[in-house]
Amino acid sequence: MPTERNKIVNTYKFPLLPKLRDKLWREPAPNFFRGLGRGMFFLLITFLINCTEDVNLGVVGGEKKIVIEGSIENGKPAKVIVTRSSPVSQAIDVNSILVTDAKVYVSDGIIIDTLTLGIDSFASLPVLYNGSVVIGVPHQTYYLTVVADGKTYTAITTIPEPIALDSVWWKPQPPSDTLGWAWAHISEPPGYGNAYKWFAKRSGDRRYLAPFGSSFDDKFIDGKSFDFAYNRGSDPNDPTANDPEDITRGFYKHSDTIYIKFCTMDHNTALFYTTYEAAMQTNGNPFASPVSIISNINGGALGVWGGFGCTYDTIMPAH
Amino acid sequence: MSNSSHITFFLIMSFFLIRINNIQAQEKKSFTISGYVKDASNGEYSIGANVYIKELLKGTNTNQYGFYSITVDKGTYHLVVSYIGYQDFIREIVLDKDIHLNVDMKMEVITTQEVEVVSEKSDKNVTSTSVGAVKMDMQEIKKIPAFMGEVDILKTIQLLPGVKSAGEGNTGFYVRGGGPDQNLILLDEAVVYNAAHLFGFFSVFNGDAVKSITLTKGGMPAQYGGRLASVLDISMKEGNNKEYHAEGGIGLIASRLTIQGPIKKDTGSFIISGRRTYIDVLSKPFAKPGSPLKNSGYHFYDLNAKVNYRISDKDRIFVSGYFGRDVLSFKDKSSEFTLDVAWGNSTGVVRWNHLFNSKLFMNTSVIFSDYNFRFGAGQSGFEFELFSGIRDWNAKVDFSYFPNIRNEIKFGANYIFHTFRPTSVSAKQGDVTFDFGNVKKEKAHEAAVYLSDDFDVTDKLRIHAGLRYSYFMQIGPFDRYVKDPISGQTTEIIHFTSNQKVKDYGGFEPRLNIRYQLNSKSSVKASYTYNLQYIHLASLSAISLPTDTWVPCSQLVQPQKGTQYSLGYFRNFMENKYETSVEVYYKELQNQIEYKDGSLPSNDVNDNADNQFTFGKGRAYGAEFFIKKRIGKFNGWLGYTLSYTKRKFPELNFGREFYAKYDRRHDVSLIASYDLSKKWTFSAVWVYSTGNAITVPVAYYIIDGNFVTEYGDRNAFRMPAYHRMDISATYTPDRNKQIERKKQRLTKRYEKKGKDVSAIVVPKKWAKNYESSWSFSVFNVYNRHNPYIIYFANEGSFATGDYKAKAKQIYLFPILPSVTWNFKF
Repeated sequence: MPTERNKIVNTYKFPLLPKLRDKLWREPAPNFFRGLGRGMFFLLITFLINCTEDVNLGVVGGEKKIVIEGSIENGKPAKVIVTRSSPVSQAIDVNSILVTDAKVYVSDGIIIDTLTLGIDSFASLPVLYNGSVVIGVPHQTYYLTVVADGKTYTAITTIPEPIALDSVWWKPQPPSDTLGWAWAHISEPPGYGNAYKWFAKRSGDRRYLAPFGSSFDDKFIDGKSFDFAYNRGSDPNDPTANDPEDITRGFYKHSDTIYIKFCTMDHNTALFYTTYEAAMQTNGNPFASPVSIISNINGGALGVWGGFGCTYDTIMPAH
Repeated sequence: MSNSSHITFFLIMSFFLIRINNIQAQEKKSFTISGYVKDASNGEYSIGANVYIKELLKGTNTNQYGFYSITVDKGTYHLVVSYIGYQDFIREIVLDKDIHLNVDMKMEVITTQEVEVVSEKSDKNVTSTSVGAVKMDMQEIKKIPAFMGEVDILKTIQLLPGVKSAGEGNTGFYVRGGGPDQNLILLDEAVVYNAAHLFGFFSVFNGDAVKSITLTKGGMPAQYGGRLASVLDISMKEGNNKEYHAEGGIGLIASRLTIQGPIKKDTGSFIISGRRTYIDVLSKPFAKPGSPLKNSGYHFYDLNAKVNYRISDKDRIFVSGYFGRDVLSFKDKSSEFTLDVAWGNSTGVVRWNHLFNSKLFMNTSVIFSDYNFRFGAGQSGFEFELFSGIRDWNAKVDFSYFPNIRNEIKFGANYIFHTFRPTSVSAKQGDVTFDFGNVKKEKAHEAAVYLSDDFDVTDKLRIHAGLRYSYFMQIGPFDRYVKDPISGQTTEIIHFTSNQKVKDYGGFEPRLNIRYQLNSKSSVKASYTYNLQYIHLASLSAISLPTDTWVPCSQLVQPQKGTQYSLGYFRNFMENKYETSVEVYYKELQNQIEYKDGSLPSNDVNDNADNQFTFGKGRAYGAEFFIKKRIGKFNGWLGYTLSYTKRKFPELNFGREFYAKYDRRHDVSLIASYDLSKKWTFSAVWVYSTGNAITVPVAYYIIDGNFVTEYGDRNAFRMPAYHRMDISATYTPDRNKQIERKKQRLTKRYEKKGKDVSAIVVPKKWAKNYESSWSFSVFNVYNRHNPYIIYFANEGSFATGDYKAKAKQIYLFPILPSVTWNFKF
């Protein structure tokens, strides 16, 4: 769903109260009564947000599981990242996360493509398995088989028909006139069952990034024609990308060139990505209950095997 | 319970009813004494007062309207009426005709000596057939230390064994392993669907407007139904029908005012009571123009009103209502962000009491009950609104029939028209409105008939046997979204037209309580109950929030079924000064609902909420120990509960049984109060309970460069234990000294002005009627940091190599002192 809604959900989270309290504290109180009134409100807020502190629950256990993040896009071969999960009771050991000795096969039902391990510095993790023979075609179903740590995991996905955006543009977000969001107009085809995922990158970015809330289906928008916007997603691997002091965070500049990748996906892929985004959003939100991410992989692995029907657009606001 | 056992039960019931008729035929020479029991000072009816014949040591209790009726053989007897906090009423009666006797009960004079005089019949704990029923008076509740000085009924009942609090900041309560939706909360017979203000810090019941409460946690009598776990029956005051009075209190965060008085002396009265928090009002004038505070704030208010009028000796009308709202708003102009949240209950009840004759009492009620929740937010042209709620229209008729001293028969019928509004959402971006479906309402009929008899089989054996038949029908208009089980996509929408039957359910609900009196001091009680519940509360979050929605039974959702067996041993010591009991219970629950893993709130729209549910069963068992000192300067109680609460859902936790989040192994409550003098009363509460069961992360993995969480077995871990101590002191100034002081002040003033000092008169009325008290309390004396919520925060990043996850707890209240000034005139 469009960005604004996610914004609202985020703002409604817990951090609202501390901000309010800080604001109260900073503003000067010109007389005694104003100070008293504000003081009482301050007290109330203080006791509402009261202390957050570390607590030891003695959590142990958690086995290492295989995690598969695979995709196949129309006109492109499959890409599959294979990793292991890291139990909370142990320190995260980056070396044991990557699985480099897996056997990965993708088939369209006729041809079997044996994926080979490669290095791709533009991917979310630099080590991944690349396909070469089987190329994605809309309406085709693809079968994934991964053999890792002595176990076999399988999954199925279908590439749906790509649906192109009618138009894309950049618009400043007031009060700024140089920072803005990427906007698009879609004519959603009638008939329920379509699901979408939005990716974008600037000319200097390493890869296409999906902002939170980028996966949605047509449950509310079936057959409608409307505008929507997304803010700029940030690269979790870039330590500078999440600097809260950076005023351009989440925005595209007027001078940016923005590449949009807009994809359709099947139901189970969408289920994975929507629960993944919900888990990311509720992570650390004390009022939310845990969201389990629903995998479409059989055999006990975590992750997803997704088929995407993608179309591409470019926005150059300065031109 | 199978159908055949239902039939057997029905046959047993019929047998007893036939037996009653036989008894009646034999007892032509018997006569009836009946009437109402009232408080002499204000005309309020006494609920559950003990009325008995001293010579026979047999009797009854007044019903909810203060009515009693006893039929015995012709003779001369002593009629005794006893009620806690009042002097016993004893009168010799010559019963050679039917007698109508209204009893005015006088308040006990509080001196140690007189309190120690115990009436012979204060052994109700031992003699009544009710298992797991507790009645509490407001006087008793008001003594217990209150959070921020606000007396809270729901917090008080959580101090009883078998009743568990959901934790701080949560007024939802759990009775013997049942969920918060399995408690029937009645305010003057109207269902209150959400009894909490502001995340549960306060309940919606204003202590000044409440007369008494009765909590039934096991052995639910047949006149109640529609819930599995408990009934909390709250009666509002009727209002003083002798003279006008006002009372109230000024506290740190809220104030209260109650006005009551006669409409016509001894015939009709009214009461109106209000309460409001005022932090927002106090802070608003001082906020800077343009700052978010200027347009932001939170408050809640409650309004209770009741009128009653006696039309004739046989007819009485009651009209009562409640209206309360929580309002939270936030507007920040700089970010153009607005938030408006409001929720609340409203109820309205009209009741007509009619006495057909001295043995047959009837009450007819028409009841309206509504709960709704609204959440609105907006930013930069995007508007989002969410509603949910439930509304009931309810009509019922209840009869009490007292054929003889050995039987008390109740029968009646009840019909409810429900309108549910599961989460409805509307949103627009500029001019385009998103399709979240129409505001959906789901409608249903619910009806029940019941019959019960509370009767003596022998002098030692008393039985309460009841049978209830209930029926539920969901009706159109309704759209059923049929899902493809594999793809999860909607394959078909079945439309039901207005009033068309969508699905119906029904069944018999047998209830049986048995008391066997071992001797005058001890008894054994057992109960069996089978209940059906046709509505469910669907909760996504780990804590009860006002956003939780009520959903009806449907094609997918079957009625909740609960079977409970309990057994108790009751013994009083030292001439009933001490009451003790041990109760054990075992409970089975069927058709429990939970959201499927990964369900999101938005999935409710353009869909049926029940498509997201998964169904399972539960069981609970435990033992409750209770010791109470009822009378004397020093009184209080100690309760301990050992319990297990489990759930099993094929689609959750890999089908393995798991502990419910409110499973508590140990639960202790200690309440003590001490009347030091007429001026000072001290009290203290200490509670301890095992921490809530929670689901915690067991591993992390990387998706799209982000760390995400894999959760472990459902509710496999525990929050730290909850424990806390509160203390309070109430100071009631001596009236005579206050008058003396006033006199002294006036004397000084007169002397200054050179007036005649002998002319000073302190108005008698002022002296007689005016009362005030100061209540000081300290919440959480030893400043325990009890967890409100536990969550997991991830710190650092993968890129910088310092990524780690930490469990964090939020605790709400440190040590909090408060002071409240209460007045009455």
